[in-house]
Amino acid sequence: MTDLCVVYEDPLEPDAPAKVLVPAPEWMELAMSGRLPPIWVYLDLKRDEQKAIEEGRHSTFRHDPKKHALQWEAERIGPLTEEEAILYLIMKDIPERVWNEEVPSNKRRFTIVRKNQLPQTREWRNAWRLAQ
Amino acid sequence: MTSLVVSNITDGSQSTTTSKFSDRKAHAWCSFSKMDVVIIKSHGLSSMVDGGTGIAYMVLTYNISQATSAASGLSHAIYSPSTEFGAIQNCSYIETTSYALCECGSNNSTLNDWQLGYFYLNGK
Repeated sequence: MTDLCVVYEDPLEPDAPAKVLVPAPEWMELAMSGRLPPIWVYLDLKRDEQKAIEEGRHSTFRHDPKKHALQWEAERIGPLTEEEAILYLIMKDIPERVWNEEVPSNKRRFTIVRKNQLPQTREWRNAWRLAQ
Repeated sequence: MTSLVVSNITDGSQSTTTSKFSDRKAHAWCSFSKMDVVIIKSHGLSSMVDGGTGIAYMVLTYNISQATSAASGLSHAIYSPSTEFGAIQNCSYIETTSYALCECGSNNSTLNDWQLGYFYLNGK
């Protein structure tokens, strides 16, 4: 189980507190034992679903069966290091507008930290911001 | 008490047991009238996102929009809990659906004690 997590801010929610992504240990095991498909498999699915949302047809949306099946059928990418697994997870689970460097921004949007670097109480949770 | 349906996302198999949650807690989660709860097996979860007090997101290992209509939108889950995160169970509803996800397990308030045991609450 990793103690790494990702702190990020969503540019679509400028007033929201920083978010903290915590990897599931079972998923980390999958990643570090080499049982994940290439990341583009997930990105393709996310982009297709996002397009459906933007076009107002998400309630009836179904993935292309071939693309969907690639989650299990695509060739596995091999074992990842802990850091590589976190980078993969960022691309998979965090909105692309946060991590895609082609999206212009004048501020840092995410950082990878150890859990012990986070505040250890949640008393001021909604005041958490990503240090620039 | 609420009905608890243990679901295996990858093969769709289910079994039913009885929830340990009280009605009072169930009402604290959300206002849905029906409280069928599905446990997302651990292999179905890739990460949890703590979005601030009372807000959390859940992301699955697999994109399962194809699998069932009930699961549609899970990868875009948005929580709408009414309690402090980490206290009792935290709950969410899923964008575009009437489903919700709830936390169970840890009552601790620090992230280091945050347990990845989460529920999929069918609010239909």
